[in-house]
Amino acid sequence: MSTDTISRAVAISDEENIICGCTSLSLAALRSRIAKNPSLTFEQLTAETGAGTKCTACLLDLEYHFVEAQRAPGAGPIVNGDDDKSADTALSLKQRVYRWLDRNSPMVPYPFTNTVPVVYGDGIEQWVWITNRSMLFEGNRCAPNMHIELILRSPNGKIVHVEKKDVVSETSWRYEVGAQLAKACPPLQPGELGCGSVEIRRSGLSAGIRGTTRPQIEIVTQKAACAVHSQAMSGPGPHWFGCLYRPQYERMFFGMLNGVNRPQKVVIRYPMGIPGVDPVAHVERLPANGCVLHELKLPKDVATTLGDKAVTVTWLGESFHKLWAICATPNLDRFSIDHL
Amino acid sequence: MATSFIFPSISSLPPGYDCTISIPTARLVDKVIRDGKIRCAMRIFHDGKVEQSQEYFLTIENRKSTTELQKLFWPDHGTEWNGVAGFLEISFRADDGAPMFRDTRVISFYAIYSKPGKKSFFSDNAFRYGAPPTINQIAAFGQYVDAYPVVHLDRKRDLGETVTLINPYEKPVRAKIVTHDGRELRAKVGPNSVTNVRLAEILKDGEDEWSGHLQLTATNRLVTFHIKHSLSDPTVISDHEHLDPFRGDQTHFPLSQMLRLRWGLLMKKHGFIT
Repeated sequence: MSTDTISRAVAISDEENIICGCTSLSLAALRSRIAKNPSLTFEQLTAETGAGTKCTACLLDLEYHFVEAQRAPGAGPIVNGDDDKSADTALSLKQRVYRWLDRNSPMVPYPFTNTVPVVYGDGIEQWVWITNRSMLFEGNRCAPNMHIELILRSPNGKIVHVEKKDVVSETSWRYEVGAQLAKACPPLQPGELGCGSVEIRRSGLSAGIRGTTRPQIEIVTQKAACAVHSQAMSGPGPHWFGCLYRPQYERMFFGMLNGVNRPQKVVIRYPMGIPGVDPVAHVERLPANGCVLHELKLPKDVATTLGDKAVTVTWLGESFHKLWAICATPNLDRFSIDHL
Repeated sequence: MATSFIFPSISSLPPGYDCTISIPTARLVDKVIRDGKIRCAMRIFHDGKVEQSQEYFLTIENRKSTTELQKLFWPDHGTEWNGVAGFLEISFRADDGAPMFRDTRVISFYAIYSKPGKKSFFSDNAFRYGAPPTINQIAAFGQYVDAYPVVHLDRKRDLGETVTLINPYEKPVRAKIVTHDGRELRAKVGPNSVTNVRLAEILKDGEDEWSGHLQLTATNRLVTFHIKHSLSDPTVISDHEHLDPFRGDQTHFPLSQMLRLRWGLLMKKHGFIT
């Protein structure tokens, strides 16, 4: 057998290579599907072919070949001719109209907007971090220069400070917002925690990728730190969350942020699902673009009935809003924060 | 796009804390498109072995569950496991193998980590397979890279941090962590194992404080978490977060697509879609 024959034989066997033994999905069939529909998602692929859904042993290989085929949809012997045309014919009329419109529309920056709580109190700092670094810090594949706008709001939704900054590629920015907010709000009583919000707007100054630019917040005390990424607001709900009620070890707060510029009510109910205990509905009125800090509190007899079981909390808003779980030691010197 | 299973999800089991997981049954039932039996499985892994596995069935009749999803309580195994972390896998599958779920997307939940005398904290579960940001990233760049931009080490304030690398696959993985100023840490993670990388190792002699960003790459993708804890006692944890893949998503969109996105956002804002 000549070298040429051997190499062709290898190429053919690679194409006929079965990725999913349960459904007999071959590499060739996978590439063909992606060539016909480049916008195929991984979820659609598994659902349509059944690959990876039986014994699941092939899922990681399937992911690998899926992204490889997506990176080079024209690769492989089964793809020929006009890829766009063949892809278009596999789409519905609506999808084809959208595709045509998208191809002929000008590119515009997508304004990413997230609002996060800002806590303040004695000895507590809160920072916003935005980093714009290249992939593995190797000087390429970096996000473009990003324009950032921080809009700091008091609990009643009033703007107390606006800060603007261009975070250029290969730099980062760390800005303290807790102290700014504390200055603008009435002083707190000892052991009290305050909460406002900061809206973080960012947009690329030229077209590119998002890279590492998702904003994060950091809460720092004299002995501990915590951090979380920003996240978009949620719809009305209902939503749920489970936590513990252990007032001897921690205080559990919910930072309730209003995502619309009109007041809204959020009804938070707990404890759910405890036999013999009726959940209590707490109605919180959130000012337009404002914030309410709700502390989880249970009567002694309910806490005794609950024991060490988790408290299930449910809530329902009227419109766009977001709850953040803030868990702190009783003396507020160690925090964690999570988006719900 | 009905499927017979939901992608398995992974939760971390850090030493020093009990873990409680309670998923509302309604969240699972919301994803169901027909009656039938669901096989619910939980497996706890440590150091390459399955430490415990549990399987039970949930029966769906008239689109309602006849029983509740079982709550999971896993006590702290820090001593038995010599201070090494483990992980938990939760999966759901139609018992008859026929399509039963709306999609394969993982049901998101928070695990509660607690211990008497310490503040509790929460951590969300991660996709074992099929995480859209990870897939999109590898499709865009051909490389697996996670990033964490908020590292803050401080000897005076006792701020310590750890990156938890979970390898829920059968192949050993080598990982490399790099910082924006060129510091580097390397780690191996065995199959079905967890490796904790203490970031204090990047502090130089006489250096009291360091803050900045890290990125991580590996010979295979991993499930990663970032822990902020006491520098002197890593079992006193403040916070447990996931890392973020280096994003390949675009900053600009065609105007027509932007208008559709805005419309969708408006619908979501008014509760017409969730």
